[in-house]
Formats: sequence, C-alpha cells, structure tokens
Amino acid sequence: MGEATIETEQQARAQSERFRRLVDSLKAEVGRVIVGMDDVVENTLIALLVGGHVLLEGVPGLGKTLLVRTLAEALDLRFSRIQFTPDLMPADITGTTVLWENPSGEREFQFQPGPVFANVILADEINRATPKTQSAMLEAMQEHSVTVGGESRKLDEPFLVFATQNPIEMEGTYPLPEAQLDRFLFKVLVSFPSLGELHEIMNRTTGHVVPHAATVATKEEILALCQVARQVSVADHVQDFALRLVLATHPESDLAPESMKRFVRYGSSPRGGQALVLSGKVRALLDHRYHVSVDDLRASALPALRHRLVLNFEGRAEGIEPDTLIEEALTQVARGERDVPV
Amino acid sequence: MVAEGVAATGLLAQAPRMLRRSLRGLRLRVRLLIALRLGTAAVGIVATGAALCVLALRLRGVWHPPLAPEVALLATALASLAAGLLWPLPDRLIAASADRRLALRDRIASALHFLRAGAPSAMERAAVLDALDHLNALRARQAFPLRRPQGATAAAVCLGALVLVQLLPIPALLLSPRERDEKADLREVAARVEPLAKQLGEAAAQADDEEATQISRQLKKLAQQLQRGQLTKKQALLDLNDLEKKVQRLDQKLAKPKTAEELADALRQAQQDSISQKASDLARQAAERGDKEAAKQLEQLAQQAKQTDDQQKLNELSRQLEERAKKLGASLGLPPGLLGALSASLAGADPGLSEEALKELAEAAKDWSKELSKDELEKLAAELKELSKQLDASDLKELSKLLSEASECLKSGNCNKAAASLGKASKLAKGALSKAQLASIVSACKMGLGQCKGGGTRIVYGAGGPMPQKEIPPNAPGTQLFAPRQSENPGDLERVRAHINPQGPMLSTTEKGAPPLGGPSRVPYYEVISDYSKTAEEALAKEEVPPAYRGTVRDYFRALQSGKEK
Repeated sequence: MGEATIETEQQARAQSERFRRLVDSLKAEVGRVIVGMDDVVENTLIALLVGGHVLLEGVPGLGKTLLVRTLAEALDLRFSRIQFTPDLMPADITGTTVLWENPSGEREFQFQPGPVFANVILADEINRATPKTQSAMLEAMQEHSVTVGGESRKLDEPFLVFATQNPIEMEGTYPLPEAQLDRFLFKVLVSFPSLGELHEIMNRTTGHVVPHAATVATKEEILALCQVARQVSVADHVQDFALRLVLATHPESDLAPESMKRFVRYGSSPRGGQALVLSGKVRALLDHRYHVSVDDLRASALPALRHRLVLNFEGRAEGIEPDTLIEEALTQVARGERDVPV
Repeated sequence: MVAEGVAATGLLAQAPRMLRRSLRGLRLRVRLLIALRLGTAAVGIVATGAALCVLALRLRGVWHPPLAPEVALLATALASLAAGLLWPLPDRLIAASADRRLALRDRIASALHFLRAGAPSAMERAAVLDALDHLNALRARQAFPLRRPQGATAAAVCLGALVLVQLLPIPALLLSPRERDEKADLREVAARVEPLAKQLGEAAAQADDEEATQISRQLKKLAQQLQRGQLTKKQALLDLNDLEKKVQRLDQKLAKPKTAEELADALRQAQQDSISQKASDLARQAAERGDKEAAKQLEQLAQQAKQTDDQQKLNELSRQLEERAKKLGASLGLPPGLLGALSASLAGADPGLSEEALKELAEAAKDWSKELSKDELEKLAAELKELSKQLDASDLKELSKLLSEASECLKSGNCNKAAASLGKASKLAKGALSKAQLASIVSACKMGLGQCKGGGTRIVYGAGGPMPQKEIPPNAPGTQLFAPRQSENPGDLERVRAHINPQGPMLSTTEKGAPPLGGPSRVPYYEVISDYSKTAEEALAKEEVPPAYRGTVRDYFRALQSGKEK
C-alpha cells in the first residue's frame, strides 16, 4: 500500500504507466476467454480498480459468470459463487456458528465462514432470493464486514460483489431494494453477442482446448492500483459537472429536464456522484491523463446512474428507459455549461 | 531521473506564465470573432432599419433624409468592434472552450485550476506538465477557426436592400399624380440642363478651365439626379439657384468687352463682305482678260455670298473663290477662309480650324516677297490690320497683337518676319479661341439655367409648398401681381408673376427672358406698399418664402420703397 503513495510528478507518471500496463495485460487475459463484451469488461475492470460492486443484467448464457470467474483467475483472487434461490438463507451467505469439538474433547462454538468470505463474489440471480437474504449482503457490500452472532468480522480486501439478474424472467423474483441497488457502483447491461462474436465463442468453447486466463496480478498489486487511481485529481469544474448531473436526476431540481420531472420519483443518491468521479479517475489513467475530464464522467454516466433512478408509475407504465432520461440529463447539464459566443 | 525532475520543476515554475500567454492569444482571437459576429448581426439590423426608414421617407417624397445610413452602419461596426474587444472572457471560460474544441479533455482548464488552487499534489503537477505539453501544439485559429457568421447572409441581404432602396427609382405606381407631374417637370428641366452641362464640359476641357469643369460636372450630376427623380422640387430649385450663382461668378470672371458670339458674327460678316468684294474684283479682272465665263461665275459667286448667312456655305464659297483666284493667277489677299475659320471657332467649332488656317497663311507668307507686289502687300497688311482691330475689341488681344505685328511687317516688306508672327498667332489661336468659346458657353449656360429655374419653366410655388398646377390659369380668380425687374444681364428681364387668391394659397412663378406683361392697377401702390412690405417681411421671417427668392423679394420692396420716396 505504501509504495503506491505518489510524491513526485515522475512517480505519478511511472505509477500511471504501470497502472495502464497492468490493466492492458488484464484485458488481454480476459480477452483470451471472453469474446467481445468490451464495454462490459472495461466497466467491470473499472469497478474492480475502484473497489466497487457491479450488477450485471442480461439473459442467461451470455458469459456473465465466466467473466467474473476469469477476472478472479487473472487476479489470483479467491472466488466464490452464490446461486440465489428463494430458499437461500442469510446464514448460507454469511456463515454460521456451529458447535465444535476440539481434539481435547472440549466443545466450543466455532464460526464457519460462508461464501461471502472471498475476494470476488458472484451473486448469481440475486433477485431470486428473498429480501431478507438479499439484505444479508448489505453490510458486506458497504462495510466490507459481516456480523454474525454479535461478532463483526472483517472481509478480506479487495471485496467485490458481482451480482447478476435476469431482466426477462420476473415471475418469482424479488426486485432489489433501492438501498441495495445504490451500493452497486455500476449496473452493466450485457447484450447478446454479434454473429462474429458467436462464431468466435463457438470456436473457443467447442474445441478440445478450453482457454484459461493466466494470473497477471496479485491482490496486493490490485490494491496498490486502487490507491493510484484514487490520487488522480479532479478540477472543480469537472466535479461540478458530476454533481450537477446527479442533481439533474432529481425531479424537484431546477437542473432536471422535463422528462426527468415527469417520469422519475427519486433521483440518484450522492453515491452516484462518487461512482462518477471514481470511475472517471480510472478512465483518466487509462487515457494517459492525470486528471478527470468531463468526457470521463459522460462515459460513466449510464452504468453509474441507471440503477439509481426510481421511476414513478407513469414512467414504468410508459416503459421509459432510465438510459434515455440520463442522456437527456447529460444534454441539459452540458447546455448549462458556459461557452464563448463564437 | 534527477535531471528530469529538475527540468520538470523549472517547467512548472514557468507554467503559469505559459498558460497566461496561451490564453491571451486565444482570448484576443475570440474577441475578434465576437466582434465580427456582433458586427454582422448589428449591421444587418441597422441596415434593415435604415432601409425601411429610407423607403418610408422616399415614399413621402423626401429624397435627402437627414438620416445617413452609411454613418449609422460605420458607427454600428465600430461599436461592435469595441463591444467585442471588451467582451468579458475569464481564463477558465477560454480554457474550457479551447479544451472542448480541440478535444483536450479538460487539460488546460484543469491545469489552470490546479495552479490557482496552490500547492498542487504530485498528480496535479503531472497534469499541469501534461497540459503544457499540449499547449505547444495549441493554435488559436484551430481552436477558434474563422467561420462565416450565422447571420452573414441575412446581413448581406439587408445591406443589398438598403443599397437598392437608395439607388433605385420609386416606381411610378407608388407615386401620387401630383408627385408624378412633379417628376415629369423635373425631367424636362433635366433635359435642358444636360446639353448645357455637356457643352460647358467640352468647352471647359478645351480651355482647360478647372472651375468650369467642376461646374459642368455639378450640372451633369444635377441633370442625372433630376432625370432619375432623386430630388424634390424644392431641392432642385435650391441646387439650380446655387449653380446659377456659380455660373454667374464664372461669367463675370470671364466677361470681356465683346462677346464671342458678337465677334463671330462680325467675322462672318467680314468674310461675307470679303468674298463678295474679292469675287467682284476678280470678275472684273477676268472680264478685262476676256474670260467672260469666269467673270460670270465670279459675279454669281459674289451674289451668292451677299445672299447667305450660313457659315458652311460661306466657307464653301471662300474655297471656290480661292480656286478661281489660283486659276486666274491673281492675288486674293487675306483669304476669306481664315475669317470663316475664326468665326466658326468662336461659334463653337473646333479651334484647330483657325490654327490650321493661320498656319497655312504663315507658310504662304514666306513666299509673298517674291509673289506679291508692294501694293498687294500693303493691301494685305491693311486687311490684317482690320482683322487685328476686330479681335482687339474682344478678349483675343494676344492674337490681335500678333496679327498687327504681321501687318506692320508686311507694310515694311519684311514677309519672313510677318510669317513668323503669323506662325506664333497660329500656335496661340487654339488656346485663345477655346477660352473665348468657354466664356460664350458659360454665358449661354447661365441663361439656360435661368430659364430652367424661372421663365418658361413650370416650376410653380405657392405659399403652402409645391402646387399641383403647372401654370397659373389666365382666368384664375383673385388679384394678379407682376414684379418686373432688370436682371444683371443687359437685355434680360426677370419678373415674378404672382397670383393672390383669398380663398387659397398664393401662386407665384419667376420668369426670365419673357416680355413684360402689363396689367391694370387697381390700387395706387403707395397706399399698399407699407402693408405689402410688412406682410412680405413677416413671410420672410416665418421662412414661408424659399431661400432662393428671399433676395428677390427684398430687392423688389426696396426698389418700390425708393420709388415712393422719389
């Protein structure tokens, strides 16, 4: 951790170069297994490098689980998968205290850690579990700790949750509560691959050799990179853009476009702003810069804000997509930017 | 690594200055572009407003509106330039705009912020150095390229409309019948002024007279304006009056004891007499030699000369007479053609004719000592003396002097010296005759302008402004007044013919060159002169009388007053 502290501009340049190299090699390794999904991979990596959780939404079979597993492999991180079902209990996730007899014959309560005690958690079909079980993830996601039997246990860093959900099959599901949704840095939509990508998927997965990702970084290195990313600077006017964008998602705000006022019940929380700025920092480093630009914020706006908008009845009835509303908010905020009149 | 660090530290120290310099260049360009944009929009708006005002004023018959569109446009352009150059453009705005336009991803604006915030972190310093790297490639014209302003086409159309509104004549359809009549009258005046201007211009060019040239140009311009209907009747009268005064001044300057026309007439008469006399003499000589046919023809020629006043005919007869004399081998003395050439030049023909005639005479004079007897030389000298006297009465004194010298030389038998004097006279003739011709044309011009403005014209003014009728009807009810007066030119009469109508406005017209009209006196003038004089003074004080007539009115009453005293 200490070696990531940057004192001079030469160090800043060197660290950012190292950051880029590592991310490039990570992308390359993931690319050996995952076909296409560049946007998904990039957003997932950005979330990983700022220590944020990701909600992956897409129909089954698109490679969401494979992506998360590959990432864990490439980073030499402990991976665990939790298949969320209606009968899944919170203890199945966090772990439980069991009566244990030690070699000397004495009986004692011992904590058996659940699957949440890993670095990369794949919460598969998270919306199939009951709210009670879903809420078991809340503390883990926010505090990076688990409290069982009155005892709080710290989770190993980095701790990343990659949850998936199916957007079509809604019967028997429990939509995630806003509080939990807000804890995801990004909501990434996984789209169906193109014909060319499908060909490549067939070629890679139906042969006798199944590709695997090699480990390119340790978790310590990842944590150091997270520290480098957090030191990227943000100028006031850029931060101002992020905050005005967050405010523009609130229907009661003067900055909100008309559509936002009409179809949205609640806008983004301040976590939305944090997500924008943090992801912007990683994007800046990847773009050979040492400061966040408005373009970085624009690029992160959809995955960072789309799950933070709560549509009202009219919005849901009209089938309004949050992405459309965010695009309008971006246009509105950009219109408010002063420019020279030439 | 250490050296790199030192270089980076130096660069960072200079970073604020480098940033400021780059931003200054950008700001100047942006301000110029703003000025251009503002100027385009403002000029378009002002041009539209001016075009509408000019159109409205023209439709109301005011051709010379007080508004000066070009001044307004210039003032607008200057104001736009000033506004553009003073447009508030903070550094952050310029930096953000340049970042956006050059896809610099907020490099300059962020660097500016980091430097201003003070004590930048390592990452911020790296960002500043990165911005400086990009500043080197920054070009103001790339960030803010010169593009055609948005309203440029509209502004150009507005300017075009303004020019058209100013230059194009108002279609007759948009004018009232009275205005149409006025314009027609003014076009008639233009038709009179135009030939005068042309004549004066040609004469002025030949005489190389700057003042006359200027007046001719002004006359030409006035004629054009009148022809195009660009002047109101009032303005036309004022301009005509002004030009008439100028012509009068020129006339006074050029005035000579004898006018060019009179001299031309006298020379033509002398030519006529000379042909007649010399043809009769030659006829007698031919009869003495027994050549009856020639004698008869010469007698006929003498008769023809007596009967014609036409200059061309006389010149033709002169030529025939010279041929006859040549055939008979007789001396003709001073050739009548020379008199004809001088007369024609003074009457407006090419002065080169006179120059040529004198040159030929000078050439011939070289052989006169051999060809002519002493009597013949004396006779020739007498004729030259006579011509010299005639020219001496006019402004051709130099020419007269040279001819007189030639005459004296011939008397003393020195033909070569006479030839030299005649040669000098030929060289002088063209310029001198051009001057005389100019004086004559200026005089004619003055007369012509007077006629345009007064007598014979149909510009009629009433107390309430221009009146619709062209002339005062002979049977109009009311009291007729005539105010004849002697103009400055002898023989010219100028008078104001007025018609007082108790039910309507007073009509008046100034007539020049018209015979005096008599009318019955209803009331002895000494009974009413005081009232009339007082009324006139009041009218003058209220500026009801056009400026061109004020002097005339005052002179008129002054003259009447002096008559009363007598």
